[in-house]
Amino acid sequence: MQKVIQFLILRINFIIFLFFEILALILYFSNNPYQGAAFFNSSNAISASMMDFSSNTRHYIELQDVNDKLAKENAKLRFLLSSKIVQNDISNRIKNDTSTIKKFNYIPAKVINNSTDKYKNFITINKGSADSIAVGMGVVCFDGIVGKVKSCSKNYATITSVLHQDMLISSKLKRIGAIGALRWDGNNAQMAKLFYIPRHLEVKKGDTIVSSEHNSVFPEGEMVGRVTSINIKGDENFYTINVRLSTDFNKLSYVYVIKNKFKIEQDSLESLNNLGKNESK
Amino acid sequence: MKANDIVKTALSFMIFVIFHVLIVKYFVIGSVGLCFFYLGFLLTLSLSIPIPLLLLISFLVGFFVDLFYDTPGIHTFASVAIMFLRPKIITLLTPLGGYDEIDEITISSMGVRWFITYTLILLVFHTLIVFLMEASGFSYFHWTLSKVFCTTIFTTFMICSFQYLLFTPKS
Repeated sequence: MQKVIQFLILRINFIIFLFFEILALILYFSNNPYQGAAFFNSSNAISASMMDFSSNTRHYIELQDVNDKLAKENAKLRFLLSSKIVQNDISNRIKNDTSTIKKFNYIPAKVINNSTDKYKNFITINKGSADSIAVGMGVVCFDGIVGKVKSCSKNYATITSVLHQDMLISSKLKRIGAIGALRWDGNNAQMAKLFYIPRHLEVKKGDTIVSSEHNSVFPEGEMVGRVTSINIKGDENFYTINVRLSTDFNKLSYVYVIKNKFKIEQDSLESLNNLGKNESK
Repeated sequence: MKANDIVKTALSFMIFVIFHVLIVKYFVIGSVGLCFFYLGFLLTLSLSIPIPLLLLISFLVGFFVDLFYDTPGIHTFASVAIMFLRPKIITLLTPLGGYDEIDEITISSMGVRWFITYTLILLVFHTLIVFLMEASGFSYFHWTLSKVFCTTIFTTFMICSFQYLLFTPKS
């Protein structure tokens, strides 16, 4: 200990010098938007390309799994397509509104970074604004919902995962149509909680939960999860429902970013409504 | 450090730093030759000042100048760096017979040749740091180098002529 102190005293000038230089650098980086941006952008590009490399290696090992999944997805899509054709034959007199058919565009992307162990998890994908991805778009995978685009650079985008404590997802119980809000509680990457389902409704274990139509991020009916247990305390008005998420966040590899063509229209209309409400108050 | 020294230092600060931020700041030769005249204050600080205090002074002066240049941290960083180098450069430039008993660094006490060498070396470091940080990297490096060259020459010239103006060499 004495030696350490002696060592420090011998180099007191150098330590003070370092202290002042670090102070100056803090000033430099915190106050210069250009330098800050250049620094953080370049570091971002470096880290993103490094993550890309490592995920490429990992994906090579997971190829078998991914293949299986994609084959399953293909099969399901083929099935849907065939049933759609049949349906169209039956009801070809009812003209489908083309705008509703093409309301959502799906942009495939590869996950290059993902975490499930923090309270606020984010996912990075290898598509960005160059592939017409914008902030606020919903992200799903074959199994269910994944999250919402938080920010995007030219070639990469960050997604706020469903496993993020501030993320509320408007979801509904498919069987009875009741709408609630889904939130992750920060512990288990498989489980989340569904709130605001009123007490008079009958909720069963195993009920399917899908995304509701009350949002402009996800299409209605995207799979969210299944009910595992239902809790209600004495005089509360709402259930607290434990949900097993259908998406396995530990094994995410490919996701689809959803581009809602009418998002701006819907949002602006809704915000207008909210404005009207506030004024009338 | 005597009271007399403190007065001298304060006066020097007024002359070099205040004069710099108010007037000399706007002396620019062909957009490459700036004049970092305030360094005249840091370079002529008394040798009797302990190094930690020297670093603190250079930090404050750099910060003060940065406020006027709107470049937070750049001049601060460079000033602290050359103040840390200063004692090493002074030892490096020791003449054959060693230094006489001196505690102030002026042309009259050190001689013109010594003073110019000393100023040039530290100014190259300082301007190099400042312009590299301004360009935030090595892009436009030839431009940075020409700025370093012109600024160093111009500033040395200004500081030396001011020395002659203030302290007439002893005959």
